[in-house]
Amino acid sequence: MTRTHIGLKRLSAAAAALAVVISLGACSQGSSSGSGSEEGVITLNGDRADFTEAYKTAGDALKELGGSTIDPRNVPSTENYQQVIRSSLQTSSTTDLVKWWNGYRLQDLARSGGLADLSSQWDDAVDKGWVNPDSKDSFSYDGKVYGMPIYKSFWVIYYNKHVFEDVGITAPTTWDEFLSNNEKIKAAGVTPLFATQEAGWTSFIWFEEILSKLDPDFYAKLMNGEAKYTDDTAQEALRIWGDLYAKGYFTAPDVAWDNEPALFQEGTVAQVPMGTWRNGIFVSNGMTEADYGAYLLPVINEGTDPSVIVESGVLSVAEKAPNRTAALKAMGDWLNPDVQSAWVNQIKDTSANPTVVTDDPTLASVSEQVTAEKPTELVRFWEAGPPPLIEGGVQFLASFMVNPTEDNIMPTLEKLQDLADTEWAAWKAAE
Amino acid sequence: MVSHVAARPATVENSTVPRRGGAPGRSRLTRFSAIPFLVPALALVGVMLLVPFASTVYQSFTRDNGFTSEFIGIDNYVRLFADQGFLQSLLNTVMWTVGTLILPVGLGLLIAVFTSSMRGGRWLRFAFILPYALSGAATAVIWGFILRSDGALNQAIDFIGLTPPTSGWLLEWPGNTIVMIVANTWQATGVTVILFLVGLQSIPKETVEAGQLDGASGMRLFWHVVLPQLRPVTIVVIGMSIANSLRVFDLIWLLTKGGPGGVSETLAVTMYRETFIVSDYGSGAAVAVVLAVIVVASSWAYLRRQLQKG
Amino acid sequence: MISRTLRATFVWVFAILWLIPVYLLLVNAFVPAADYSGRPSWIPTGFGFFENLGIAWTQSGLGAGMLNSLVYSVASAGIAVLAAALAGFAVVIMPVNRPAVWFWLIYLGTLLPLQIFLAPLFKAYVSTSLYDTNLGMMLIYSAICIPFAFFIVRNFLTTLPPEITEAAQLDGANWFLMFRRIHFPLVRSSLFAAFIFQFTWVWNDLLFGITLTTSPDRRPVMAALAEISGGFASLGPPVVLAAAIVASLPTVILFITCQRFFVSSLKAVG
Repeated sequence: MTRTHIGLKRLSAAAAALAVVISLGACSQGSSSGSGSEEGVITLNGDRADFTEAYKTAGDALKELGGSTIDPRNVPSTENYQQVIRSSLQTSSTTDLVKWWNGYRLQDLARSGGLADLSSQWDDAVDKGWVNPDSKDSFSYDGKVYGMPIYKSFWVIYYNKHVFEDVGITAPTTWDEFLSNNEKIKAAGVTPLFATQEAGWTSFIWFEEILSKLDPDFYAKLMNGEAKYTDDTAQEALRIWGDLYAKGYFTAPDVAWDNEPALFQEGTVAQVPMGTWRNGIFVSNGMTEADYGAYLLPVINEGTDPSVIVESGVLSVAEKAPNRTAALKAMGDWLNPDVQSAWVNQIKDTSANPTVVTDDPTLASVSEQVTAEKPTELVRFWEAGPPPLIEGGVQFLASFMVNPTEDNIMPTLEKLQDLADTEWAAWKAAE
Repeated sequence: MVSHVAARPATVENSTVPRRGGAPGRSRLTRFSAIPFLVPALALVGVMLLVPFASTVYQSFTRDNGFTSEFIGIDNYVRLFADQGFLQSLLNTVMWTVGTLILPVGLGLLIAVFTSSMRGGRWLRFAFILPYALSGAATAVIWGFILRSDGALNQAIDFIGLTPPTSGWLLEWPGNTIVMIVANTWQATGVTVILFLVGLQSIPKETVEAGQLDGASGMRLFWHVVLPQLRPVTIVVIGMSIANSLRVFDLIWLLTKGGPGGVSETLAVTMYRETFIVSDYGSGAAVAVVLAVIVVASSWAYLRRQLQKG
Repeated sequence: MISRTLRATFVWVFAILWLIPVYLLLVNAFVPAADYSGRPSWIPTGFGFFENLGIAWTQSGLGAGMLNSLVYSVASAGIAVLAAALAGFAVVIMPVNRPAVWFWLIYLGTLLPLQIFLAPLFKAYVSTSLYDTNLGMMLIYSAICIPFAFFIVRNFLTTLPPEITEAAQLDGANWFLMFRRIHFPLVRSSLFAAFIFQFTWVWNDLLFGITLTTSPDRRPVMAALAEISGGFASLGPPVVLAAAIVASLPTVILFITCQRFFVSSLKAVG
């Protein structure tokens, strides 16, 4: 017993020593989360790990203009990120800048009083021609602006040029061409269109594309709660969608979204609908202008006004930001072309500043198409309605994708409308 | 090890541990002397776990979106039970509990017993223990690889010459819940195997030999001599399986997110959705309370009798 | 004997089935990221494992994550096992008024779904400056590990014959000496099993790591891994799998080396 006794004693002594050492360092906060009120540095919280380097680059550009550099933090999961922001926004531990979504999601945050008013920075940017004033609504709540656009992504159809060459087709300019292209691609043994509900949110993509190319006005009204999901136009949209499924144009609805870049690059799938923010991934996978291109989905019926789905994340300033003045100044400078060119060239997306030209050829071609067609800009489904409605909505759309038959159209739309009724009432009640 | 003292199986008489040791005059002193032993565990569990739970219970009576919260009584619960999706969630949760009680527990027992008397058993056992050591992320990615429509399982079925089911493994209920229960079994069996091993190890050789002398062998030996002595470990395994099955989250979330359309949601998933996706903290708290009640009730129902027997 | 062959076949068949997903995991982690075709492969193609790992390592601070997790796992599992042993001893051996109450109070901790704790703890940590600290992580991890360890120890202690306790009391030993000299050594094997399970649990935890830390020098390994799989979509599954394999190595090694411990003096049972 004595040997175990001594052994035990030694072990406890070692354990105690270790405990002391650990506890000495244990209370100190990590490098990314200190008190955050350092001179010349503003903190930023976000959920895109691939943006952190770009935030720093933008920060350097801001510094050149006499402002502060950016110290970015990241929460790897979008859901947890939302919870972190909700819990910390109104405390003193919030970061100066917060990355968020625009539209109704921004309104949700602004209503709480946790965001600083950026109206003067916005007006200033409009005066300098740095941003399109028509988009003000999607960054405002109650007439005041609460976020500056991080980027302005257009939703396009990316296509694999090699597949198109092999099959002998070009990017479609009419809906009929789009359909016949798909038929030919399918005949060649390639899956024409990518669609999945695996990532949860991705189920709204084809719904919004088809509906907006069918009737952009209806889309806008539906998103604002002024039209019903059970109306004829929505039924027609689901019918068209179901028809594309019946023709076998889509990937299986449980394909992993993470596999999309690889499937697109390999040419296993010919066309992928995505925002221009996806461009950066294709580029970092080594794809070039020779490999892929992008086009705006044509309208379904001739004579319909052209439209394009637009998406803009925002940067907001926390009302309780430790470095509030510096953060507000940074937002004033955010849309400056110097800052924007450094920023978008790193994230490989299009800037909200229309004067900033990107050096990426695919993005440039999209900008050209937009300038030429002058489509109506519609807010993406994700930000276009009260968040609980959207979150429930994507679930119903997902179950339609799994069973895209005629019989399932009205049940899906009815569930959507029921949810819409409830959530719009709740949203207005909370105003 | 336990070798120098024969461990008594709990079914033997006098299994109640004496609670009043020592002379009566000392009893008050000895009763309070338990406190310092209990304090570390109670303090940590109480402050870090029970207090947040209490605040969650309170939150379930409010409408809370993370910024503002107002008291609304039992509204959340009323809405919950009237919701079709919630009932589906309940059904899935029950399926998970039944599945997890049968599969990992049953399989774990069989594997533990068989491999302990087999040549090379030790190495074969490792195949079952390894999955438990893998991270949840790796497990979900791998099973996603296997179960998706363009995944390894369908590739294998294709290869053999059969046709894979058109509806996919993850896309339809109840198939997707069943398939995910199997995926979970893959990981959960590791724990049960180890625990049953520890239990088998503490069965004294003498009792087995005595049984064999009596003429029992194989199945009868197992049923009448070995299994009863495994009771303490079986309690742990089943109690733990009940608790774990009701809380499975990572696998379901990463494979189907409770979908499509919420058909494969369990209460744990619903709770997460309400809290972190819809940001309706009050409703999420209500689901959490319902789940906690179910877990505690079923654990209590099972353990109550077992605990009395010591 | 026939039944012996049956049993052996049963075990072999299941063992092989069980290893198939591991095989797929390995094969697909070896595919060089640039060659990934978007579908899982059954056959090894290329040897990009170290390349994938290198990408993961640099992009996500995997090394720092593993170091943090090591500290958290060892410290928290250790503290929890000790606290659980003490509490188990108190509830089973010592005379307490209502042992069942204490049991349920502690065991309750393992019954509650973990997501419950995320938001309240985050708020509390932020206001007490425990957010993003080592201490904060160790506190919650220890607390979570106690109930299950307690359960195991408590059950094991109930199988001990009462004579042991009686004999020690006759010898005049006080409770703490009794615990240290007699009962603690007796429960060592179940404590060790509990330690290994809890070490693995803490090592594999994701939710608390993501919510309660944010810096790479405080973040546990699975949170670092989440950055790769969620944040860098261009890297693709092979990189994630390579990182996941390396992140799982310590627990796998732990299980291999400790299996001997569980198995050491096993007798043939039938």
